[in-house]
Amino acid sequence: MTNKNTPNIKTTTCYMCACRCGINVHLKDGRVKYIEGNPDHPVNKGVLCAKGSAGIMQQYSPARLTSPLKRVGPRGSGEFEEISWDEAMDIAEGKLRTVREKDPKRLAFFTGRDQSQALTGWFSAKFGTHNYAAHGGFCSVNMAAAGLYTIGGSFWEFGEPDWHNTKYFMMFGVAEDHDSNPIKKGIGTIKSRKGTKYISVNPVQTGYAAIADEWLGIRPGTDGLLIGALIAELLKAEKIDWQFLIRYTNSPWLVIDKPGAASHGLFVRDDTGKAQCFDVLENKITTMQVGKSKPALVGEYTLDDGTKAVPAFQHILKEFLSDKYELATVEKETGIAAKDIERIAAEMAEVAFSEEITIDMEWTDSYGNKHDKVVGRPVSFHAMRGIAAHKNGFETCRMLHMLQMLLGAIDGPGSFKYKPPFPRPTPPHKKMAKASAEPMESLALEPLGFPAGPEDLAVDENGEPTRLDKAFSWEYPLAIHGMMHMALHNAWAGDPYKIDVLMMYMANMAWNSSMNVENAIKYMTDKDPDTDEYKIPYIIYSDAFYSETVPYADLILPDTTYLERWDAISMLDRPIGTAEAAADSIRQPVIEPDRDVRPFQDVVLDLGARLGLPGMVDEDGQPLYPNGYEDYLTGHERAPGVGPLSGWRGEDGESHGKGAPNPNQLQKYIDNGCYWEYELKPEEQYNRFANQAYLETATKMGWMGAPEPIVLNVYNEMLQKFHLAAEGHGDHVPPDHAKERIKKYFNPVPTWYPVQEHVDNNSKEYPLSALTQRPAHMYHSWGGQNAWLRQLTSRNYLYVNSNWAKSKLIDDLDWVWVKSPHGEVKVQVKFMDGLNEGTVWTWNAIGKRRGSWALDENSPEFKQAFLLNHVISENLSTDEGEVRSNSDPVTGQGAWFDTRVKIERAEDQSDDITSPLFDPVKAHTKYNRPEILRYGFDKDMSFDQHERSLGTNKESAE
Amino acid sequence: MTCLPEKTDKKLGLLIDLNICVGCHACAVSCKEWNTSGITGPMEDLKPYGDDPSGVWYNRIHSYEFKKEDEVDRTVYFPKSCLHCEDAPCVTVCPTGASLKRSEDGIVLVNPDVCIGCKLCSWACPYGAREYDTSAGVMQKCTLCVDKIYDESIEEERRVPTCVSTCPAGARHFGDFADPQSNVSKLAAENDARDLFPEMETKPVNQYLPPQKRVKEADKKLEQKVSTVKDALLKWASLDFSG
Amino acid sequence: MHPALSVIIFTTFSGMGYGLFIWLCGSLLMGDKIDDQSIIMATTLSTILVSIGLIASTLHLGHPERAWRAFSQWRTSWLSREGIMAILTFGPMVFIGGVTYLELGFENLIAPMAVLGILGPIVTIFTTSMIYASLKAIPAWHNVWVKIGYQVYALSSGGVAYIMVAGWLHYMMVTAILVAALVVKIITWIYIDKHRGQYKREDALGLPDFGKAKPFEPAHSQKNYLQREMGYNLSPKKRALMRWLALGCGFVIPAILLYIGFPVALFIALICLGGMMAERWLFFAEAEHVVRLYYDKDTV
Ligand SMILES: Nc1nc2c(c(=O)[nH]1)N[C@H]1C(S)=C(S)[C@@H](COP(=O)(O)OP(=O)(O)OC[C@H]3O[C@@H](n4cnc5c(=O)[nH]c(N)nc54)[C@H](O)[C@@H]3O)O[C@H]1N2
Ligand SMILES: Nc1nc2c(c(=O)[nH]1)N[C@H]1C(S)=C(S)[C@@H](COP(=O)(O)OP(=O)(O)OC[C@H]3O[C@@H](n4cnc5c(=O)[nH]c(N)nc54)[C@H](O)[C@@H]3O)O[C@H]1N2
Ligand code: SF4
Ligand code: SF4
Ligand code: SF4
Ligand code: SF4
Ligand code: SF4
Ligand SMILES: [Mo]
Repeated sequence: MTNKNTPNIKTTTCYMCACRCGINVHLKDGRVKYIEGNPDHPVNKGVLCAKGSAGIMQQYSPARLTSPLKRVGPRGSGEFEEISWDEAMDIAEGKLRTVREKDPKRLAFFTGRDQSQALTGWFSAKFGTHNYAAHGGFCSVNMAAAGLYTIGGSFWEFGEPDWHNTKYFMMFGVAEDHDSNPIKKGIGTIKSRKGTKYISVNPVQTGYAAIADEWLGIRPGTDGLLIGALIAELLKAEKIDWQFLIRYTNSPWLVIDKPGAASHGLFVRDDTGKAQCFDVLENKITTMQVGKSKPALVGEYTLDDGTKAVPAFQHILKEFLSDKYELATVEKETGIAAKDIERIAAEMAEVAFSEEITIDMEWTDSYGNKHDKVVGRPVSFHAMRGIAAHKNGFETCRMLHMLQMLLGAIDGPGSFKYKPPFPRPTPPHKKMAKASAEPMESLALEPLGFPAGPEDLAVDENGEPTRLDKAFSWEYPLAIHGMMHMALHNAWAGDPYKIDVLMMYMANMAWNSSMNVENAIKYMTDKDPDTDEYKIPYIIYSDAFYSETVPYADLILPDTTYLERWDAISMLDRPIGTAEAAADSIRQPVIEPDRDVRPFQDVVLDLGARLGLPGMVDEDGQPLYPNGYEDYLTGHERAPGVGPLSGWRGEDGESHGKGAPNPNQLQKYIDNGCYWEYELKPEEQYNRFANQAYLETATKMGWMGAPEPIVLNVYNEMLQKFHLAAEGHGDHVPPDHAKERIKKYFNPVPTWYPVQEHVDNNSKEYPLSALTQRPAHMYHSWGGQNAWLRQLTSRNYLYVNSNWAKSKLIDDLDWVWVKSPHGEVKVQVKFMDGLNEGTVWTWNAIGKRRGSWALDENSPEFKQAFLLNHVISENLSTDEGEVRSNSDPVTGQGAWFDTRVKIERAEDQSDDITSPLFDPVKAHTKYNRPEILRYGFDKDMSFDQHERSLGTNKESAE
Repeated sequence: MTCLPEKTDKKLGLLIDLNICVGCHACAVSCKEWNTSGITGPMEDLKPYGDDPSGVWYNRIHSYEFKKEDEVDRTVYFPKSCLHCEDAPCVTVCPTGASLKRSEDGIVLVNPDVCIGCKLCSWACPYGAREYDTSAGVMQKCTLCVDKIYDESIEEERRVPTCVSTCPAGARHFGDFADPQSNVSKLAAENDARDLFPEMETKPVNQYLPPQKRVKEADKKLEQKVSTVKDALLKWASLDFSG
Repeated sequence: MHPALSVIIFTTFSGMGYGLFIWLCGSLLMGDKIDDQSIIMATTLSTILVSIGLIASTLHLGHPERAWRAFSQWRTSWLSREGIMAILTFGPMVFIGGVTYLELGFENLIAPMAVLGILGPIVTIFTTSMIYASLKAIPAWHNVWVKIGYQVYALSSGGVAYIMVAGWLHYMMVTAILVAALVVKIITWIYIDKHRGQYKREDALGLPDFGKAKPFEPAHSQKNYLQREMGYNLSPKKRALMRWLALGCGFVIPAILLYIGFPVALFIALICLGGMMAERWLFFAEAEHVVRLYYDKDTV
């Protein structure tokens, strides 16, 4: 089998991005020779992207950090002293201990692109701070939250179209996604068979959109209108999967209609809490029993006490048949022709209802009904940041799920399918800490979780935020991934309070993951005039490379590369897997570090042990995981029988999912190619929200608490509870300043609204939407140090629509100023036709800060390349003069793609240099940077010998 | 030997599907990675960390925007490597015999031990498939991963060029165009496969499947059963939707 | 094409050398009275010019020490043939020069050698021209005018050199050839100007039926070998300037100076050589390789 490790080939998991592909690393003389996709691996099945193949050049990057560093110059100067690990750990321990003794929340721990959130979140809980988050808050939390609160799963990497069977595939706003290779494989699959249509909805026609059968160059931020219009078309034509709605969604559930009352908009329930419907055969209100009830979907019904109630579905009808989604309006706002919308709705309906896929298969639903077949509506969708990274993203994502539910196109053959451990209850039963712990105490709950109502928010007695980033407050109640993009600002402003130590891991916060670079730098370098101390007093950072953020930290804990350490891609965090199988995986060290670095996970566990944190030390205060992460991966139990890795548990290594720790577990993984895969039985693969066999398996495996069906929410009662709270009902009422917003943005049925920048006083002056896209061959900033990848793209341009540009007398390759209310940046433009007229865009994170990444001072990355982050902002002021985070009002998602700009041709066209060009940070590299790189291996044979040795019949042929 | 073989036993080559390529550069980087340690490597990088990074690549991904009156504009990604031409001008111009086309499988190679680096072959190739290694002073080019496709220590189905096995979208196919039953011959026959630059009369072995044309679609519209909320409420009231 | 000094020197110097030798041999065959001194000077100079040319040509090789390998592929390669012919052609040169210098006599061999001395260079020049003219990928070279041109420019520049070493005997003929060469050059330019745009990007991509293609993202953001080697950008202004320079120095001025009998022939020869170098610079700079269609040019 290909999985086998040999002395010269080691299996592990790629980490040139977060897609988590399996790789076989070929070694020669202890150096990496070739990295190929592992053909057996569930994620990539043998393929590898450009980044993965360039792993060699990341491994040997001269920008690698080589030892712990202590800042000696001012922040941002890049002046450091090399120190020993002992000293570094002593400093870190001392800083953290002081905080923990005083007030644990004054440590804020923010992590970025790492895959160790199960560890880092747990560490924070044990430390006692709930000021912990990872990057999801500015990344695509709208997608995650909308999905989890609606259908118990989401796009992102947590679900996928049934690539093999779908006949109609529509993708919204995806350039790359975390499921990078699976999506490419999937699109390739549908493109290589006849009869599947693929539509891309994206303002820009590149990458995936380039090969779509149809491209809809939508105006950014208006997808919700398009989806709403499609829904309206389907409703009007009665092209709705009524049965799906009745069985699996809460469409027939009766909703109290009593405006002003505390129960208004809540479901009618019986004494045991069971939802009620109106049964048209029995002609009365009864308990909804799937398979037995004949519920009405419209109508007004009177409860015993005289209260009126309507089926939830009626609210859907009202929303989507309203004027808002009228074709003429939608055409004007989205730029997509009404007749195209009509046609697409017709095509979609045709596929869903005339080309359904039926598989003969016995299965039983959670309500006891037996079925002899599975019916699929082969219309599938996928979406990512293009619809998520807007201030109306939560609603847009919910609308997309609405469309799926109406079509009955969820988890059936040919439609969107969950990847285990999804679906989960809506929302998942995991609550988060509402406040930090007392000094020297730990938190009982982890910092992140899923509020199920106003009572779960992380607010104090005045309703004000308890978290530094204000996640889970009345301002951003469902900020389930935290709001990392507000951490620096809030810590600097002391709003809601000051902190003592900021710890960051694998996040380039001084550059491309800040929403505004100048601001981020200011927050980190501003001093308190009274004390002459930095406003953010102490910054500890772990990076593996000399990134832009390193110079701003006080203590640098240098990490290993992904080929040098253990890692777990855990079911507790962001597992891998496919629609058919659950899976998780590990990284094993395949080469030895050649410098004084330590895996950050080891450092975290070491710090925890030094601080004596529960779970990290035994009764005697001795470290529980003396060998670090390796020990933790097999030894740690999150709950009895549940650990970081799901495969080969139990003493004998025969248990999967749950089981006692197995000391040989890692070897089992290695022997299997560094991953574990658990394939679901065919009858467990569909309708998993109500598939009893699946739900039982999921419970047994530890993915669910109990095998209870998950009702899909066309109508979200929980959001209504927030709405009611804002009207003053209940025990948990928002402070006055938050009331209007909650009322406006918390609605049980998704609804579209325009984002602020499209309608506020600035909207006329700044008429263009400015977007970024990820290049397939770069991972944010960290691809730029890569000798091979940077040859592909070492500078970026601003792409502008040719027609638009010509009308403004801007020529191809002109230098222009891109201006927004938040800043300006000088860039070179390039013409493009496949681009929405009101949109400009560029590749993300190509521009670099001079001095960083061990690149030459005159590199194109510094001088011609640029970041759009100079014109974005994490804060916006409204027309009313209020300053608010530039984030979705429900989830706190950073709204990168709402950015609006204007463009002016630069006076000076001659100097060929971008602006702003910050002062260089002091360069830092311990490696030589060759003028000519000849990476390869001495061949032991001449060409002739080699060629003749290939087993061909060359000689005889001649 | 720079005489072209009259006929090669096989015609090994690539079929690249422009209808599927998303321009991700995976094939190009994987090519570099395999071949830099391969039979004709290393593949140099000039100023790898400097102000003007460039280097030898056997495969490069171009892209174009196409515009046509009656069709919808489209972006096309265009990977390009050596086409292992049957009438390879790069071979016949070579004064040293370093450039050769193998009679058994048609692979065009450069023998770096013989090449004098006159660069003439790179002038002769209409496709820009030849790459000069300045530090070794020899010409380089796509080897069709000859040192991979015949390597018996590799599982048989993985014995294909690295650009093919790595392509995430599955846009690249490898096979014998001389065999009408091969996967590539069949795909080519079924799909209007194209020669690049037929005017150059090089008879390329590699073939390209064209992108799909984006024709404007005929209007279609669902028949409306209800048009307003009121209609719907009336029509759907007390209907049994449960089937 | 990138106009590399080495190839410019190669073709101009060897062209002049061969031309000079052809004139000498023709002159000998016609029975002109040329003193031994002039014969020696002419053969020496042509040998030197050709050698400079050949040495220059090896300078742009990656492996000059392997240059000997270049003689092996005469069956297909014009470069190989050129190499062999160049070596063979040294035969008559060395013979005629050597015999004259060493006063060895061999009177009856001089005439056959002179015939070879005419044929050899003509064939050699032809092989040189074919190195370029055989390249379909460079339409500006792949035409008969290149083959004709190489011969006449060798004769015209060689003629001027001949006058410099052997006197003014045939100056009207040289002048006439200069004028003829001028005409050939002008026709060549008209020809290539007319045929520029013969090939389109859409042909290169094999997608002529998809409308107009324009480059979107380059394969890599900085220039690569192909662009450096084949991607020379000649501005119309520079083209015009260089054309005037080539015409003037290569043909017109030498012709006029010869015609009026300008006394310093060395000066005329130098001007002519300079003009030929300008001409050859243009030969490269103007030649658009079809690979540019994949990069930056719409048509070639
Ligand atoms: N190669 C590579 N892969 C990566 C990454 C990387 O850096 N490089 N980063 C990873 C990370 S952290 C993330 S979050 C994911 C993100 O993966 P994606 O969600 O694919 O991220 P973006 O590149 O931001 O692409 C957003 C897309 O949405 C489009 N878009 C913008 N606004 C709108 C709109 O209003 N409507 C519609 N319909 N489309 C719109 C943009 O044109 C763009 O194509 O990728 C991950 N994968
Ligand atoms: N304009 C604009 N800005 C954006 C976005 C956008 O669409 N447009 N997208 C946003 C999104 S979704 C995201 S996720 C962020 C991503 O932005 P970041 O989270 O900043 O991601 P990266 O730039 O990939 O790098 C993070 C850091 O990790 C370091 N690193 C790499 N490998 C290792 C390792 O093994 N160990 C350690 N300790 N460190 C390592 C790198 O050197 C780098 O400094 O960008 C955001 N910024
Ligand atoms: S998508 Fe590419 S970089 Fe990301 S894990 Fe997979 S191979 Fe590695
Ligand atoms: S790997 Fe495949 S999809 Fe990517 S550029 Fe190459 S051919 Fe295109
Ligand atoms: S593509 Fe170019 S290098 Fe390859 S065989 Fe054809 S002419 Fe030769
Ligand atoms: S560069 Fe090498 S392979 Fe090319 S023609 Fe010259 S000798 Fe032959
Ligand atoms: S066949 Fe091999 S050498 Fe040729 S382009 Fe593909 S990977 Fe590169
Ligand atoms: Mo992200």
